[in-house]
Amino acid sequence: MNKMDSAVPGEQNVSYRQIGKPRTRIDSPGKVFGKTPYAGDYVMPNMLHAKVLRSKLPSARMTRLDVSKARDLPGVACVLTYKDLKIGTVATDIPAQTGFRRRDTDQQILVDEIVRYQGEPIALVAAESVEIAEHALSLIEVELEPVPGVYDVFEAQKPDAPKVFGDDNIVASYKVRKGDVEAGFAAAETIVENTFRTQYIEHAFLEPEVGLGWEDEQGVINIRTSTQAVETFRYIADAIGIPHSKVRIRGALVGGGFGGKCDVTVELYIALLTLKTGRPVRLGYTREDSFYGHGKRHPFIISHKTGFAKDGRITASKIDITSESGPYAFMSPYVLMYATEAGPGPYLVDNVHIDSRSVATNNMYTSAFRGFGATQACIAYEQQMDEAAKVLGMDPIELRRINLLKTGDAIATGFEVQSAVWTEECMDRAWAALGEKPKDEGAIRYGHGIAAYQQGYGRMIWLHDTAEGWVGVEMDGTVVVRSGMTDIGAGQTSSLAQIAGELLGVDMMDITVYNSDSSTTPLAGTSSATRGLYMSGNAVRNAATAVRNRLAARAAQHFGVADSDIDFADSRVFVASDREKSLPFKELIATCASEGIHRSELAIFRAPFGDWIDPETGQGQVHPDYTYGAHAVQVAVDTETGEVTILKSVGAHDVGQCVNIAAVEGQIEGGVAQGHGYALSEELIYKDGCLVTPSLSEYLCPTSMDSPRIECIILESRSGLGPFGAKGIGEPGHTPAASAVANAVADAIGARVHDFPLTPEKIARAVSATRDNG
Amino acid sequence: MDVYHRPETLQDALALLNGTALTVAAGCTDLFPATPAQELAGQVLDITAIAALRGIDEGADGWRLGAATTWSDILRASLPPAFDMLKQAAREVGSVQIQNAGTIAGNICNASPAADGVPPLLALDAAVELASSTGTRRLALCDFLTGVRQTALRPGEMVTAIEVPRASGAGCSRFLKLGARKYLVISIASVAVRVVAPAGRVEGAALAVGACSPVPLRLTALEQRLCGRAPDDLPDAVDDAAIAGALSPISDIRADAAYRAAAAAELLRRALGDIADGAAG
Amino acid sequence: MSSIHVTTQVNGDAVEFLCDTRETLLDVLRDRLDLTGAKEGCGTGDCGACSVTVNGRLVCSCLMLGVEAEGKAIETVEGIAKGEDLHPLQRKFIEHAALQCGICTPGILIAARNLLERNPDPTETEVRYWLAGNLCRCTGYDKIVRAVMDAAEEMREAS
Repeated sequence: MNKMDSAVPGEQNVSYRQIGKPRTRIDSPGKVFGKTPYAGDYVMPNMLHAKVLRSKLPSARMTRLDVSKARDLPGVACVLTYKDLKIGTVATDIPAQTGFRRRDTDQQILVDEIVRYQGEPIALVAAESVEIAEHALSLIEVELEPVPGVYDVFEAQKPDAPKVFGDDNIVASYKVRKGDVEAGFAAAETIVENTFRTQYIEHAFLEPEVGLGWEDEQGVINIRTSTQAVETFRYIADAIGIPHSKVRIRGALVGGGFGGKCDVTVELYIALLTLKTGRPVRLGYTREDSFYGHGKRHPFIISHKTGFAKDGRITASKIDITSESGPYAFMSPYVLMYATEAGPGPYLVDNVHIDSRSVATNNMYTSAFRGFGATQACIAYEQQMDEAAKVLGMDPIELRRINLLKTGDAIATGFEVQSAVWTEECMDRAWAALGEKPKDEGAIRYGHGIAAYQQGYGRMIWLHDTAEGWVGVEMDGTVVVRSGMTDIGAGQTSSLAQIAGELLGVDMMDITVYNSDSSTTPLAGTSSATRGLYMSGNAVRNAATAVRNRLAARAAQHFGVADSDIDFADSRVFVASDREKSLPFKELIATCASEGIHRSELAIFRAPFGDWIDPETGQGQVHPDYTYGAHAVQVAVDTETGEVTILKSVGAHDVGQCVNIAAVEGQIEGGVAQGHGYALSEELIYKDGCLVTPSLSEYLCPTSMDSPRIECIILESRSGLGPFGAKGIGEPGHTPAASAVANAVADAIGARVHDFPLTPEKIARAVSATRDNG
Repeated sequence: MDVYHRPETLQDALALLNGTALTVAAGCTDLFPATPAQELAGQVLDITAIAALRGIDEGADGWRLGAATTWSDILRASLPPAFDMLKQAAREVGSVQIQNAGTIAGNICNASPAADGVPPLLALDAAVELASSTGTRRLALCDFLTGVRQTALRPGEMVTAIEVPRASGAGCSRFLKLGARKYLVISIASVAVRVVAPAGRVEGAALAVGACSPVPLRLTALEQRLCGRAPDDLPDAVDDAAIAGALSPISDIRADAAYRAAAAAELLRRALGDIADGAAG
Repeated sequence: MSSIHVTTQVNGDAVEFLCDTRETLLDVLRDRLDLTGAKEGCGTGDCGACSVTVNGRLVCSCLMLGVEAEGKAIETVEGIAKGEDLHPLQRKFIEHAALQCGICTPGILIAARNLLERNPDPTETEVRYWLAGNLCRCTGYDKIVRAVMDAAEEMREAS
């Protein structure tokens, strides 16, 4: 379901033939036939099957490792331990396509002495069958001596805490100093303080990590895998000790990612085993492996102290942010940066004071997850706004309205947002869509909740992000696009076809997109950070525009008109002012080919480049631009049992410009469901570092019975930095959803549960506490 | 798995069981997930091909539910309202896929404290028929279940049927469960309630609670108190403290003990209220 | 370990295979019969990505042994379309954009078809209940439910 709003005044004449239309994605037919091959569906002759031996303890010293029995087992081709590794470590930083200097955050590939988290890999086995590989694992003799670990971020910061990372367990820390926060509090009529906690959660993509590697005739290690980032080939090459040019990552269509398939996992083990054995090696994680084998969403503890003037205007915002990194860095510094930047939310606050840190523990390591810290920030600032409204006796919508950023206002880091900031419009539309709140009946109470947000899209500007794209026209007038962008299910390749098709006047179904191959498609960076469409879409737009311009020049010569009078549609080229004058597109192409006019283009798109923000004040630009919007939710809460039913869920977002409206809705609806699970039922529970919920019967993602109808309200300001003015929506659809649920629950029961997830038990306890208090 | 047996007659199955350590498989919906690497170890005896063990028969003495009867079979069976709670539980034991494969004997032999099938069967006074090559014996379900994941099964024995006596086919019934998700979820608490009140007065009641003790329990004291009351008065008879005293819930990742007990009491009130309202179906 | 000869029917075709007694039906479909539409999302019956029907019953093929298929009729996603002709459910899934990454799609299509065979006119709640054993992490289910309802309507009108 969706409602569309049109463009900003002055751009009403923009009309597209394919852009913005609810087109069938080019990847859909193969998927409904069940014939689309995913990474796990590929096999090769003479293929070996791999398994990973993991530590059962979260903090230990390995005192013995004997793999001789496993090696002697018939059918075992290879067993690798740390002793067999040439390098021993692998980078955990963002897989760079630009060559910025990597942080010093390498991780051991296999345990050499110290185990730092439960599930840390100890040995790799490749065998003739999965069963033999599993048997071999059981023959590996490992002795682990428990070492005192630290499993709490506050304990980890104490001087005598066991050291997991560096000499103080601090993986990263930032601060923001804007205005005079003490003066702001002095000027406040009311000060509201709250602390909010979020939990570890799991991406739970339906396709566990999987890949198949082989060595080709040039000695290149090829790995076909399910990844959001083919650029990891460089880290893999570095880790196995061969040149970058000798590793090729070939992505397949990805069975869900949500940030969880950005880091290197199976592909490194496959590379090591392929290199060692010279044979094709397949490694597919079981669901349990997947629970233990990739980084999770960071738990955060966020304290807000906010000053409000009598009229509700925010006078000062002091925020303290702690995230849990687990034992390795991975994306923790960047995730913390996002949370810090988003700290006060989409509100105009002149006096800001933020301290943030990411703390190492022996719980599972954490990394990218849709929203990348901005989601957790939203859970805190939006609950804080509702709590403040309660204290101030104000309507939560009106309190937000007074404080919302407007176009051109400066955010917490002092950066003035240049694109449209339509948060208020989104908030009003989403809230209105909820309609009347039903009357409470018996134990059932109804609640409405709103959450507004700000989410950066694109990479932090000091990472100097670029993407390349290639567009070419075949002799029959069909079009080929090449882009390294991975397709994780959101329709990335289809959008590229739509963009090239729009510019060249060729239907997207006549366009073939080669993607996600680190050797043969121009690198476009990861499909993460809400940068896929923004970066690869602009690169393809640039390439298609260059081709279009050359073809238009030749057509203009043919028709004797100005280049600007040439247009392309329906596989024809024509004179815009006199449409009778036209040619089949392929005839123009034949002419160009015979004259040696270049029918293809490799283009680069550069996002805005900049320097780090000021380390002392946190002032400067972090992201190229931001997406704004709001989410509203209606819930029914059973006050006796604490059960929550989500009745309505409305996401309103300014997406700048839809490329494919069905895909935009898909991002919003899927993000919303993930947000509902985040708020209510999903939690990875670690007890002294050990996971007690390692299955999909214990880790509770929403089912179709838990999910409500989801309404999407899509606004188009055409002010974004993406192609045709698009803003990113991959993460933003998810960012405010959980916060809105929390606010709706609090509205229903008249009490706040500060710790996620809002389980029936916590809600029932909060209700009974309000009864006890009067 | 070394050897896989899938006999078509009970005699063959019992002969195999005699003297050999076998894992009995009856749908595998609990067995597979509990097994590392999704692989069954040792010898497996699959009883789902034994036609005589599948289906529900009604006789003069009551009902006989074959061990390999699936939850879907139960949902489709024509049974009196006393079994409504069993059907309601059948709809909650897992997804449609699980209901189609999972069996009633599998559920009770798995002996999970949170098994959704057990409270309704307790409230139906079910007995378990156990067979071995040397003979057959019967145990009340409450005696069959001896602890968390423990039963009174002896070596060489298997469950062949669940029996419900004729007298327990009386009354109206209701099953309710609470979980941290709407569906496909391991119960925090579950209740099964059967009330016999032919003339506006309760003549008999059977109440069972799951997931709040090592083995799901009947609340016999409360059942006594309900007798003689009007159906509308039943919910008020549920006393939180008494329920909490009767149960021994554990605190675990799904809920703490106090919340489980309170939830069980609330579910009992609701189930009894639904019966009074005639909304039990 | 022993291999057993199994005679079965898959998507209407007579099929014979040899399989190890410990192989699941999912393993057999994927590794021996090259039918890779059904996916292993969990191996514990919690996600439904491996859903197939066996004699018209919807099951998780990861919880069933290959040897149990003896004499049974198996239907997988590969058998839903008749050649290039899409089943109404498949067409509606494309039209409604009821899929994203597509890993859950084969299982959901099989489950939905099984529902419509039993109940040609399901309510939204009945659709949501029937599909609850099939997790989807991308779509939020809304478009899936709508596609199934729409397909049901079209199929009713056509019959």
